[in-house]
Amino acid sequence: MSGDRKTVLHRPDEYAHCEPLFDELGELDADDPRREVVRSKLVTELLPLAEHIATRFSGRGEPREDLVQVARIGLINAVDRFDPGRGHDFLSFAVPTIMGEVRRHFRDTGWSVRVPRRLKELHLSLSQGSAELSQRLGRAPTPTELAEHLNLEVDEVREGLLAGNAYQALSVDKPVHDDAEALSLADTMGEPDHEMAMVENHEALQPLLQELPKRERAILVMRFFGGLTQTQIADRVGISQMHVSRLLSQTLEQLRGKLTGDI
Amino acid sequence: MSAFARVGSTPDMEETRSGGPYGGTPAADGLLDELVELRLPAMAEQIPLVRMLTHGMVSRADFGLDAIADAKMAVDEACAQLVQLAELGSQLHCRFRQAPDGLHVVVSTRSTDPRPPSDRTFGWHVLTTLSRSVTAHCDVLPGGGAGIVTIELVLNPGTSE
Repeated sequence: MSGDRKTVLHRPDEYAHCEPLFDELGELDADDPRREVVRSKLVTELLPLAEHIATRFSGRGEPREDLVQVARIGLINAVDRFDPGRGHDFLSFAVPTIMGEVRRHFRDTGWSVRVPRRLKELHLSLSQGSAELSQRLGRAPTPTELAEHLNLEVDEVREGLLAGNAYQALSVDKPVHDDAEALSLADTMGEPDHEMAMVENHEALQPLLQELPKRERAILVMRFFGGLTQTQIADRVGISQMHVSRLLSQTLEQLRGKLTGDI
Repeated sequence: MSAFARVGSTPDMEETRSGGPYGGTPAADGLLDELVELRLPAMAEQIPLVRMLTHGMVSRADFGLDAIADAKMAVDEACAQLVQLAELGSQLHCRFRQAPDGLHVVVSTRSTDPRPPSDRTFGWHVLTTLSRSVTAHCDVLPGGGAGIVTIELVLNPGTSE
């Protein structure tokens, strides 16, 4: 339960060498060309702070790289707005500023939907549990098997699965590293043209497929023209089965909307 | 699971308007002992409710996770096709029945264009990929001009492979 509020180890001395730089910055006139030099130096020295805070927020479904970028923006804002004359030390000003920036990022990317923590954790363990069991069984597990594996009530598992599908913003199962490699593998499968040609409205379909994001298209083709199960796809693409399922139904819905005239 | 509590589970079922899409399959009659039905306006916004019920049915039947997701997509697709054909103001009638070979889902609606959906669309391809079997038929109502269009799916538990 270490909420993001406790945050960051405060080791004030770690950045103590920056204090003279702030003093120096404070003394320079607004249009002094030296300002930019000192400011850059400060930001560079303080970069580890941004990384540190970004790390605290990682593992929540946003790519770490994005979080680091956002935290750095927060850091630059903090450097620009910090006023040493007010008697605070820089860290106690900067940490909340940077964290605020990161939180805003989560909010903007739709993540801070108030999903109860219990559900998030449940979703995460269902996701991991099903990956483990799929590996062992060679197929996707059933709710009963998952419940046994995770020591949960089967009803809880069923509900958790439903919730996992409902919370689109619950992107805890994004890959840790967005990996383009798994996708190129999917691409090499090609698109089984003869099967697609059987589809009456395939002329309408083709351009729509091309418009889809690469990953969504690969998943759709693997499922509907490559005969792979969701678990097999999950394995290839490096995301969870639940995530594959969510992407597939979103993609279908999207296509359905656009194909409407042809059905 | 409280969301599913309102859904009627009836021991037998009379098809109210079409005279019974089950009529042609006497073998299925013995399996009608646990029928779950849902009726709702034939509108796209309502489809998520059918999806939820489908989730309840197949997760209770302990389908595999792949099969649970497939079942929901298949029912989604079947409903979406029927909603498009549906006469304004008509209802979507969904029936779920557990059978030894999987979950049987029968979805029907009233349409002024009494023809079953084409079996050569991408949507139909999706249905056949996701289900063990798919059939569609249309019962033209007396007087013509309208009919009950029905899609029947048999959904695989996906645990035997």
